[in-house]
Amino acid sequence: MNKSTRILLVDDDSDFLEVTQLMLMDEGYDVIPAINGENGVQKYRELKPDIVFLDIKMPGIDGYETFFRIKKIDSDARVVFTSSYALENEKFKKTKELNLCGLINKPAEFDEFEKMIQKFAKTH
Amino acid sequence: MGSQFVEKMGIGNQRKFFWILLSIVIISVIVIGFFINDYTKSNIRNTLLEENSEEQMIMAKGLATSINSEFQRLLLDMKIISESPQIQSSLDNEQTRKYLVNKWLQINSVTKISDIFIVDDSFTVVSQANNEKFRLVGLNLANIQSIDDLKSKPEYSGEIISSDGIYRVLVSSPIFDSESGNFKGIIFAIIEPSEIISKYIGIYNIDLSSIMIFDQNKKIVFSENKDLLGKEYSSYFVQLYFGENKIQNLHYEKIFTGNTESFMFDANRLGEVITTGTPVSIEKKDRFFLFVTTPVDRIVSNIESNLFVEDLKNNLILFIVTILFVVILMRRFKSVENEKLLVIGQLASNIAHDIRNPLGIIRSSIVRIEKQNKNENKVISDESERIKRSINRMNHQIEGVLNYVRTTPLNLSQNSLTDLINSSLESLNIPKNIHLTIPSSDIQLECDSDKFKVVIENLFLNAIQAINTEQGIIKITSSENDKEITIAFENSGPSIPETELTQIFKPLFTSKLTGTGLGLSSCQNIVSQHHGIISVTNNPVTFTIKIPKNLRQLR
Repeated sequence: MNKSTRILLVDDDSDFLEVTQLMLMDEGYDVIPAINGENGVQKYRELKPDIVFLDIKMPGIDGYETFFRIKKIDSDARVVFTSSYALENEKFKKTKELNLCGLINKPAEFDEFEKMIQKFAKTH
Repeated sequence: MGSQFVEKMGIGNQRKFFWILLSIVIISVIVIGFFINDYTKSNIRNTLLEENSEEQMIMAKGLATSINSEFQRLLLDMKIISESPQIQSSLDNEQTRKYLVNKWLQINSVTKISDIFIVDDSFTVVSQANNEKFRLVGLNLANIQSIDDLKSKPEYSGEIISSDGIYRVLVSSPIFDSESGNFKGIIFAIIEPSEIISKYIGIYNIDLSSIMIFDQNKKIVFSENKDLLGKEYSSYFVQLYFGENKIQNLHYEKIFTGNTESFMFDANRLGEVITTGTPVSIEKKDRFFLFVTTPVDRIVSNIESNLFVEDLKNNLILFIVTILFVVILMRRFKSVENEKLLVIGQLASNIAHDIRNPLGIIRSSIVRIEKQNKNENKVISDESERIKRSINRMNHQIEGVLNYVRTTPLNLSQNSLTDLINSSLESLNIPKNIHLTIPSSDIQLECDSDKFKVVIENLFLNAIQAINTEQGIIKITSSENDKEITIAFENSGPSIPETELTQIFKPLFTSKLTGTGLGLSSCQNIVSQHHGIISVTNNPVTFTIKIPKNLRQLR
């Protein structure tokens, strides 16, 4: 396992963003935080992370839209949704068709992040 | 979100206004309907009663005129007899008696009279036409009150109530000598007023029981009720009979003083009646008072059938309108209730989600703290364990609310029951005191796996909490036939009280301190979303789920 895996973390909740970032950094990951969808897309384009943890409900463009934009930049992008909300079926189905990696229900154990990283993150 | 709410409320107010308006209109229709129905009915009734009163008044007056003319004729008859040569020649010989019998029979063929008799100048009865009933010859009438009047001119004289209880009156004419003009005696005719009235009953088509006659002293001289005969109107007995009715007394008093236009429509002891009355005058004096009383029931009964049809028509329309109104109202209330529940559900779901995020943060933070501590500080590791347990409890509560309010459509797929049970068990800890048995042979079922896992988890939790710390078992069995799959969750926990068996699936029903009261209710929601049934029985406590096999076809 390559500990320098680069993770893009997109969430509008700054506390969640920070604590998750710190937790992942504690484990030795390289974490890029993004405070909203646009910011996330921009950072994806610039920094090409190995895996994205993406919140669904956000102001501005939501997680789904962010997902589609990232997929446009990189069709092989590895994206995992992090959500505490019930999922809208139609959009969720579409993301699955575009190879959505998985879903973490908040509040989640840290292990779940680890599992997803080990399973889906691009390896160099 | 806020603006959406405001918009919704705006539409709600408009709708409310519409409903209030509709309610007012429908209530008005019902009330007006009732009034129209009532008005029509009372109108028909009133017209009928008015007509009847008028008819009755005419009849009473006609009857009075007839009685009057009868008496006038009798007076004339008596005068003619008194002036006849036979009477002039003798008052008491055999010829005179024969003559009287002859005259009696003659008069009787027109007007029934009981007798004709003659008194001499000392007022002693000297001749009698009909002595079958009473022998009057030899009787002295000098003590009759009005005897002096009778001496001077043809006269009517009031009551004689004989020992047989029949009221009789006298019509008389003095006998003067045709030559000298000296007073010789008086000729009397005895009349039973009831006989005269009976004669007219047929002509006027009246009911004998409806007639009551009073004499000038307000004594009852004719009534079907024989007990009233001879009693005065104001007497205690008669007043009691009429029920001491003040309105009636006033009305009778008016007639006694000659007001013939008075008629009464009131309730006496016979129920509602129409009473009309008229005085009967003989020789310009009011001698009798004739009252005709008709119960309203008898009049109205003729048109009752017509009224009934009218009633039925009106009432049917009213009934239909009322039912319609009630149905509309009930549906309205239901939709308001549903709307309310929807809002509450949305609110609960929002709150639950909003709590979940910070809860996730707390959980992550505590994990970081634990990692920093590396079990060096016991207080920190103990407290972080406690915090984590609390987070789990909160999470369970939120999960319950979300499962209950979540109404996403089913996401059907083929699932193995064993897999579903096993993956449910991953998130649960079955305590060591409980022995778990799951079906040895697996079955495939078509269901929404996420939702079905919620059902299984909830039933597990329920069983674990029921068994508590005792030694116990949880046993899952499954079976299937062509149509449905049956899954039974049996546990060795205490029986559910009879009264709670029907309540147990109701939302917010809980017997536990830490329960949400939504677990079993969510189970029921999910199972019925799968077109299935969940039920519970005691001995041992068993929750049974039945789900149809061809779910896709049903949908």
